[in-house]
This record gives sequence, C-alpha cells and structure tokens, in this order.
Amino acid sequence: MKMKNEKEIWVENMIRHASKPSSTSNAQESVLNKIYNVLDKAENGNNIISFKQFKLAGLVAMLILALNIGIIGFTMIQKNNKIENTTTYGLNTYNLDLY
Amino acid sequence: MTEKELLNKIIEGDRKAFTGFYDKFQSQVFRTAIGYFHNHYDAEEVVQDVFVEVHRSASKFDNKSSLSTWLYRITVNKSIDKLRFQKSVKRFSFLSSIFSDEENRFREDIPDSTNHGIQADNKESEKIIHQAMNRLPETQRTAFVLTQVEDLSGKEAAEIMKTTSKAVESLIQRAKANLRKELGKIYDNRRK
Repeated sequence: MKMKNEKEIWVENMIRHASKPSSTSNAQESVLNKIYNVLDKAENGNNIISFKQFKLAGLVAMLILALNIGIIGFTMIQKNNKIENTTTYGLNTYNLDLY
Repeated sequence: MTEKELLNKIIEGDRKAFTGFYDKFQSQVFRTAIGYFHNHYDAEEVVQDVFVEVHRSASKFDNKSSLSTWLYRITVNKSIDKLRFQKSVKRFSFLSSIFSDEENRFREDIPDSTNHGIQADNKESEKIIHQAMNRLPETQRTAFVLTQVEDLSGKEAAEIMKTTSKAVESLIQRAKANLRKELGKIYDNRRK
C-alpha cells in the first residue's frame, strides 16, 4: 500500500477540519435581541435608512455621475472631431473653388 | 404544536412562538453559516438575516417541504448573498475604505476571535480552510456544507438545492477534488 506523504496527510486533515468547524454551534443570545430590534423597527414603520445604506447610495450616485461625465466627455470629443473634419473639408472645397 | 401552527402564531405576531422557533432552529442555522464563513461574526449576521426573513415570509411557507428544509434554503440563500456581497466589497475595497468606518470593515479574512476555547492552530486552520473554500463555486460549496458539515444525506441536500441526488454526489466529488487542489497549493506556498 502506498504511504501517504506529509502533504497528503495535511490536506486530508484540513478537509476533515472543514467538515467539522471548531466554532461553537450556537449564536450568542444577543443575536435574538438584534433580530427583535430589526423587527420592531419594521413594525413601527421606521423607514429611516441606515448610515451603511446612505454610504452605499452615495457610492452608487458617484459612480453614476462619473459614468455620465465620461459619456458627456466622449460625446464632446466625438462632436469636436466631426466639426474639425467638416472645417477641413470646407476649406479644401473653398480652396478648390479658388482654383 | 405542528410546524404550520407554529408559523401561524409567528404570523400573528406571537413573540413567544418566535422565540421558541429561534431556540429550536438557531443552532441549525448557525452551524450551516459557520460552514460557509468559518467565523463567528459573519455566521451570527447570517442567523440574524435568516430569522428576520422567516418573520417576514412566514406566510409564504407552503408546506410542500419540511420547515427544516425551508429554513436551510433561506440560510443557504442568505449565506450566498453575503458571500457575493463580501466579494464585491473586496473588489471595490479601495472605494469602500474611504466610506467605511473601522467597525464595519470587511471581515472575511478575520478568523473567529471571540471563541475562547479555540487555539491558535485552529484559528490558522480555519483561515486556511476559508481561503480554500472561497475558491469553490457556490453550488459545490453548498453541497459540501450541507452534506459534510451538516451531515445531511444526498437526498436531503438535493431537496434543499432543488436538484437530484446524483448531481449533489457529483458536486461533492468535485468540491473535494478542488479543495484538495487548493489546499495543496496553499501547502506548497507555505513551504516556500
């Protein structure tokens, strides 16, 4: 029978450990209080957004703003390019007319 | 009291019934969450989310599956939601660090420190396992947690995951193979 090397033994131990986490199998009592706090807030119609949600909303707003600035900037560059092309073409035509 | 009666009492707003429900099922939810996160802090957050969800959607329980299966499904979904959120936070950590305060900072890589009985070796192992488990696809991870951590049968896991027993077996095999591969890599890196 093939002997397992140190690495294989270590890996198997880790997998066994993954199947049996060493943490205790109970949540702390304070978790129930937290749940009741959330439920109470919902029942009292307290819809004030949390600071965490506020920060997330701010982040999303900033991303949308950045995207908008990007789109506007890109559109302006595109427009400028078109104007430049037209001008060059116009001048060329004008010059051609001269001749 | 039957499961349906218990849920009816919860829908009616009976706090005693809800506390009884929590006492009966919190260890099941906590164990499953620990299987996903390997730390106390995140597991307790999942427990909180799951029981708030139970209170909100108790009326939606249709009796087609057992209460335990329904609860497992909610736990799996909440755990996966949290994992996805953590991954997205990690992706944008440079931005979130600007807005985030010290208390709410991402804790994925922090092993359980509130559990007094755990030795340093265990903490290190939990960290390594979490690192390797994080590389598994969600379905493989769920199959592994339900069958290996929760000791559920392939059939029970299949019912929770809404798939077949064969598919669950295959997912477990692939999960173990991937875990071996990832742990092997970690072992090699530690030896360098």
